[in-house]
Amino acid sequence: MIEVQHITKRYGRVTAVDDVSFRVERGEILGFLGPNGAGKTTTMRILTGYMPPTEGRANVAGFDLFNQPIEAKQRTGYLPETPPLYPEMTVREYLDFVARIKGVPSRERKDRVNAVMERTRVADMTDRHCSKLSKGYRQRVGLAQALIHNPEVLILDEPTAGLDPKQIMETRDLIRGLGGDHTIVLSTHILPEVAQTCQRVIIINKGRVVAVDTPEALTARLKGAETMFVQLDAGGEDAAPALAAIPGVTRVGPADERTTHGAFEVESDRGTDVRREIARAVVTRGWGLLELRPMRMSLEEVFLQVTTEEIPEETRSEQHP
Amino acid sequence: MSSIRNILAIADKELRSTFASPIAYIIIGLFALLFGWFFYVFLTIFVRQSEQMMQFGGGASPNVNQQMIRYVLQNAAIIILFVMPMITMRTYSEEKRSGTIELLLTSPLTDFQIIIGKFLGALGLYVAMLFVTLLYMSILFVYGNPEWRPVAAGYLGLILMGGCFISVGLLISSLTKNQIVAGFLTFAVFLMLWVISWIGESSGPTARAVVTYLSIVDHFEDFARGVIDTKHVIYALRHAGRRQRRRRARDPGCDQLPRIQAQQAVGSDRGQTVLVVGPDPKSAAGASEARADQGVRRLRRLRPLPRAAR
Repeated sequence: MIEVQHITKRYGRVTAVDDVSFRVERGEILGFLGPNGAGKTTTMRILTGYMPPTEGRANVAGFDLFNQPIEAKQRTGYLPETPPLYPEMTVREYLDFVARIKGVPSRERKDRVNAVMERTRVADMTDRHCSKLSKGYRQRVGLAQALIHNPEVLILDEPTAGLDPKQIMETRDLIRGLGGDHTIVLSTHILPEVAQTCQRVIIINKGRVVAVDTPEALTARLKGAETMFVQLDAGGEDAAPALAAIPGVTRVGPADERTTHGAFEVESDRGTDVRREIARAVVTRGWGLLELRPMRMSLEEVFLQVTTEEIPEETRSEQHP
Repeated sequence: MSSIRNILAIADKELRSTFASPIAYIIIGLFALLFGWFFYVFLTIFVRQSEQMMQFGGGASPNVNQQMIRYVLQNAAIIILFVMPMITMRTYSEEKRSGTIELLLTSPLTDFQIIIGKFLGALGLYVAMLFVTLLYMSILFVYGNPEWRPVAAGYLGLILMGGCFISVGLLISSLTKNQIVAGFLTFAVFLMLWVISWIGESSGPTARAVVTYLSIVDHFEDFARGVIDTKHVIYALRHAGRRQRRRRARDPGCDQLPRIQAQQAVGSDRGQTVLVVGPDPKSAAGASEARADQGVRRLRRLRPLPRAAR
């Protein structure tokens, strides 16, 4: 549905997007994850035809973005970072105008506007001027605007930014409901959002794709080792060497720099469960075992790891599926 | 068909948003006030002059068109020069600042449709502004007996001149996010295009010709007299083409510009024909015939060689 091939965007000497390639299948919800300034917005702007890339090609809904931009744009709905509202128009006037320029036939326009307002829950603000809307409503009118011509492809730049927790939930439900009929690309820097709404994640950093996978696989893949959290009530200086001596353990370090008393992070090879051995070693030395639990790498940690360090080669090769 | 629909949608939106804000009413109101003041001043002068002429028993009766309406319209052109930046400064700057330009540029619209839509929107407000002044003119028609054709030519001139101003204004507005910057730059450029003719008066004939051609207000002066010179029409139309250039630069795939320029070049060579619509005191007949001759001579030069000669 969307195919991006080696897109690069340079502003003068700054490279905002560097050789990005990916595919999105029909009906899929793809999450675009990255720290601020990673190139998410630039990539989305290129996909919507707002600006051309310096190099590379893109195909949206079967139309080449650079040879048939009008056809591609007819099939794309876009919610920019700031909803593009005209302050002096009412919500209905605004949606009617958008429907006009998106090419919705005049007969269907009224029905479409009503349907979309219903769906995004802005129907109670129909005659309110856009300048008087709260942030949450502005965002939802922005979403209504993107849906007005029932596009095959939806590109949403941080759709939940500025919403309160209840609205965030509603918006996520709405987006999940739209998947299947629509192909959706959404960007965010909120990680749980990706885990909850997206089937696939692209992590982008400094303009480069650093990882592409499902949220679950990404978490598992990046976990190079099993890590246990161990807390003891005694042992002192001897504790760390004792733990390190257990077969299968590869590294022992203090768990937290602030509470150094007897808390350790114990890493072992992947697939080796060393809990039994740790417990036995501690108990035979007569120390008290206060806590022993596996540490799971959350998506946050994955994200930090991929965006701050070099990532393992096996993940990198996933860039061009 | 859909292209016209899109253009109208943009023009309609432009007009609505100006009339939804106080800007439109302030502009129209102030323009009507200033125009009214000049109208009053020149009317008093004209009435005094004709009374004097009647006293001394002059032969020819005074001419409202040449001695009053002409000056009113010329001064209106100057007011427009000051007012126009306020109409055009927000067109693109505001959309860029608020981010709505992203909506327009990601909608299935061509750059051409957006530009023409915005141009027509601004022109609509301008025409509404001129429409109010017809009220003043109607007073002349009720109490006097002016010729209507020179007045119509004068208004045509104002509209064409306004089109030039608008297209320059839109171009400048598309360069910046800041309305104040856009407004001031536009104003400076307009003023430059007006005062440039002052330099022309003291320089050589070539410089004078170039400079007079560039001066927007000079082009308008014939219209104010009631003369429609196609040279001036070409100037206005060429200006309207100018605002395309920036967009083209962004979109190298489009090759329309060279063709437009070529057409204009041919147009301005032919464009020496003069149409006299109303009475012209400076014996327009002689001058215009001379100019027409020049045009014919140039045309001859342009005509392709006969088949035998090739």
